[in-house]
Amino acid sequence: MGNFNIQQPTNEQLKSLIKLTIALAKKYKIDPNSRVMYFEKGKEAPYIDTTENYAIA
Amino acid sequence: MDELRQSNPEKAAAKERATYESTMATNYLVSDYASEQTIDEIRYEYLGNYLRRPESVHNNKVKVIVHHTAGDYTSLLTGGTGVVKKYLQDVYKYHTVSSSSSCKNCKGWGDIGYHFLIDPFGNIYEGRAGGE
Repeated sequence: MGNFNIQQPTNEQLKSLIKLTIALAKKYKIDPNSRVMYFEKGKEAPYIDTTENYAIA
Repeated sequence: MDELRQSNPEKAAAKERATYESTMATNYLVSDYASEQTIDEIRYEYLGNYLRRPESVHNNKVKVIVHHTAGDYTSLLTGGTGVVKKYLQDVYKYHTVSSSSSCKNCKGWGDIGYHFLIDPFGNIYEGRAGGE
């Protein structure tokens, strides 16, 4: 929870994220060291949109 | 279709079901999945009722996606559990309520989009169904 385009995750958040990701990777037998890259062309970053009700996603 | 329903209800039901399944498979499920993710089963009904949003079953999970929300977490650091609860409710609202004048750009999905959420204190919350 947080907009990491404008702020950094807290240490506690990162610790929990690592624990959770390791647990899920073990459960579903996914190699945690493999990587998949995703990108989309020509789309503006969503956090620039300041429309009301757009604050939390 | 009304004529068929009167003359041959079973055939009409089968036809309705086929239409429903193909619409759901195209509109809600198959078209939205990445090509590497296989779908093993699609459940269209539960306890004899058609599901508005069918459930897909993936026996082989291929990846874990780490994502962040768009909402600043600063207020959560000092706000206490009530503020965290409100944040979660706002995420739920944003993801599940259909877009309208009072909820601009809201998504109208069946549940929160995330399987899990992590607050700035490291607490992990369950998001959408199926995240166990």
